[in-house]
Amino acid sequence: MQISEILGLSWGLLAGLGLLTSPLPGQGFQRNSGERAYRLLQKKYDKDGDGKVSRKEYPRGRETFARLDRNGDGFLTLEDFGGGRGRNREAMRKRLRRMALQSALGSYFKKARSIDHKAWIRFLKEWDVNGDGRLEDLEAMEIGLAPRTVRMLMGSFGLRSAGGSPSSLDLSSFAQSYFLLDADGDKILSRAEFLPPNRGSAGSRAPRKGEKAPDFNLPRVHDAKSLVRLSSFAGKKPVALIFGSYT
Amino acid sequence: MIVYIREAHALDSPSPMYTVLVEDPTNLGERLEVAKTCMTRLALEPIPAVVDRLDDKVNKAYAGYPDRLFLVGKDGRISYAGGRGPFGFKPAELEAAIKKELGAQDH
Repeated sequence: MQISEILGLSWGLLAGLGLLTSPLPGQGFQRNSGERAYRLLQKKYDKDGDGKVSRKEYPRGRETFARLDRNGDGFLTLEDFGGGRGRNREAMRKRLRRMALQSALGSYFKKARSIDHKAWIRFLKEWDVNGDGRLEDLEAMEIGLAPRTVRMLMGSFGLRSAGGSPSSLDLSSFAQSYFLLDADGDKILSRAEFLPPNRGSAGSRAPRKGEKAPDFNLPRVHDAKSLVRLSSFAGKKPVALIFGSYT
Repeated sequence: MIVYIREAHALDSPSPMYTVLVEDPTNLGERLEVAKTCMTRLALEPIPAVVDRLDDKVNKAYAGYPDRLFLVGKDGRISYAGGRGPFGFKPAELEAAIKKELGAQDH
């Protein structure tokens, strides 16, 4: 295949695959987005129309139900998803902010063993490229944070970072976010505290350059009866593999 | 080729993000449906795609979660192994690796 043919796939598409783990472009990150999730479940499972989903109505497993029933009242309600008033909404916001912060710090601090408050302030000062006391999305990208990480971060603080209008956070109030991650309260962020949790293929190691590519024989997305075997390409052409999911 | 794997942030998973609302697939049929929606909504249809089975075997073999890029050379060996996403997911690196691989073939 000619280079031009491959590149004809449009690198916009490939770069867009970064969006496989980020909000859809222009959508921003909505307040009460947990509410949309709850409405989806309610529409699907609330058969008796009482406005909540009971254990009996929920078909996808007791363990999942128990995890979703955050206030433990035996029903899935808006409150479990951070909607309505109450402590759950605040807890949900904090959790989303923590996740967004971990994503940003993980990419910036990479192999650091820990982050102390001084290092955190240095990071914020670097981020504030023009020194105006505001942390802008564009400045964040200037210091190397990925656009989707920045979108997620801004979104978790209620700001939309979509098409055209920049968004920014006040540096001194944002500085307090350091303590959001300090789970054990020792004023230092350990790797366990500032890195996103390792899930999914936790423990498995990716194959390295030069190693034999693990073979597979998987169904096509658009024709599940037809299987594709990776080793069938050997001797014929190279294969780019793009791992990802919609969420 | 896209290898569609386990959802990173299904709404009923321990780490929901509520950006795209998808319940965690519990069978291959469900995962195929979500994969199809994903391909359509993100205009990825030109790229051939396969789906990993629910045992996540291929995902684990490549540590592909949540997203990752590789290039397998004509010799069946890894010629580029990207870092773990999202920070390690760098299309520009894959592009460079593809150019290098094809350049090597022509000579």
